[in-house]
Amino acid sequence: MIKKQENLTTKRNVLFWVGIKSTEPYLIEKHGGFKYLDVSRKSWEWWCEKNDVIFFPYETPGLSETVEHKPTWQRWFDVFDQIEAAGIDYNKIAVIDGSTLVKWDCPNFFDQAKGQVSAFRSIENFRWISQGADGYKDFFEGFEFDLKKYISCGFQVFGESHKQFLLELKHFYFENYEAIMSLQNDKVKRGTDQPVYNYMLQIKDVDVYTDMMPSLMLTHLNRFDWFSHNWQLEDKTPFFIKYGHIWFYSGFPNRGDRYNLMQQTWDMIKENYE
Amino acid sequence: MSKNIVYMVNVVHDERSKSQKYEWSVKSWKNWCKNNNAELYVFDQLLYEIDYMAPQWYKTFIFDLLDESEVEYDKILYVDSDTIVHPKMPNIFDLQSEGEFCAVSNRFGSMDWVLRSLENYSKHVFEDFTFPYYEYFNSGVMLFDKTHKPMLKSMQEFYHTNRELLVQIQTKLGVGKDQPVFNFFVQKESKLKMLPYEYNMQDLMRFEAIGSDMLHTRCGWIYHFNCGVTPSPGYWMEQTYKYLEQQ
Repeated sequence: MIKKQENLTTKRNVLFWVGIKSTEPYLIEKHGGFKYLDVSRKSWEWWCEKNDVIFFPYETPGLSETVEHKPTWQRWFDVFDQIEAAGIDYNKIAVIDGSTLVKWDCPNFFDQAKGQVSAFRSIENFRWISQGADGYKDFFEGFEFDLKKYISCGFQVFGESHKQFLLELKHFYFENYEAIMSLQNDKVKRGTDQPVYNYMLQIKDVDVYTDMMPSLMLTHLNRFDWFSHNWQLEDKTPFFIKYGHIWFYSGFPNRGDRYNLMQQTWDMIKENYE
Repeated sequence: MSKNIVYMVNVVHDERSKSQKYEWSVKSWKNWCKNNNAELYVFDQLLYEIDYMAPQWYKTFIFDLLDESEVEYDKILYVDSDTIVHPKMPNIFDLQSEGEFCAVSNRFGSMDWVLRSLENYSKHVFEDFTFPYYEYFNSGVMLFDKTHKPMLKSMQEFYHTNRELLVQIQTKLGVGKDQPVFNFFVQKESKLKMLPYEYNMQDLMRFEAIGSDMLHTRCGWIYHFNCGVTPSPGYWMEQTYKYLEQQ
């Protein structure tokens, strides 16, 4: 349950942590279960307390149907509604996937956020990104999408000025639901909200800041050899722990790998959070 | 009248370097220079015996070579000879302000290699001096100006003085030649400005950007065919050049 925040006289930053444990067998199978969320939560709760940030677990989406209306979509429709319904006087909001762990000494990234929305460019797999962009091109009436501006939806920071954009995204989603689902599930199959979100950012010429510290979004850890270590100096600390601040457990061959890797990481580092 | 300079080292010294098809890179940059009021200079001579100094270090002689040829210059863009530039790339020289040393981060690739480079050179060569990993740049595309002349001269001297150690690290640890040294010198002696990935698209296979549809030409401006791109850098330089020429 979300408790109403009382006696708050100053605006505070909020971490909107996406941690929905769907009970749909299809999603449980697809994600290899949701135990990984329990590991993620421990790290984020600790970090938020340390940095005077409100930890807001997003566990109950507005629409209970999570196969037809994926949480990746619903988070954008619910983020302002739920935070405001809880009576929180917010400053900036960070939306982050529950497939992440935050390092104990991660800097307060709210200080780095600029523009209408701060996000990270997604360039880990240009083939996948371009297929998504090209697949939606006709739907967006031939809009010349710039691949150089494609961002990840996994971690964003914004303030109230982004509310209108998300409202428009919501209206667009429901007005075009059948067409979007057809592209998302049958024709394109390259992500859920991310291609549409990106198209709308570019069509509406939204001011997107993409220069936050790169260590705040370490993703595709396997592809970029982040699990390695410097054996030449006999230092066994994995590079991702030494240099990263937020680790995204995505891009693995088997989705079930996520929990195992997150739990192994947590077992290595948990004493730093006590 | 001084002009902006694009400088490339293309020393053909063995059978391997003869077969690299670097001429496509030269053509590509020549065309871009023509459209952007810049001059291309290609250095193709051996300065030292190959066993004494690898041509990768010739980047540090840019100012000497330009001065020797009495070339008037303003800003300098160094590019590796396994790069192709998109003919419509905006004028990259506009991104640099006086005193800034511009390059693209090397965090787009194997972090194992990058971080071992950073850590090993820090420990063995630069007395534990270090810097943020995401500021470690690839030395295949570097933009700078006259203010960097003393720094490059220092690097030459550094090489002559520490050659034995540097060669030993290169040979035993395999973590880069000139690139780590450039990085440490820039961190210590200059003001680094990171350019976006589009200006030095490295390790294209890892990013799944390369294919017969020429996807990479839609994702950025400078294509760097390094990191063992298959079947060969030469193949992709030729294909990319010819494709862009037809656009």
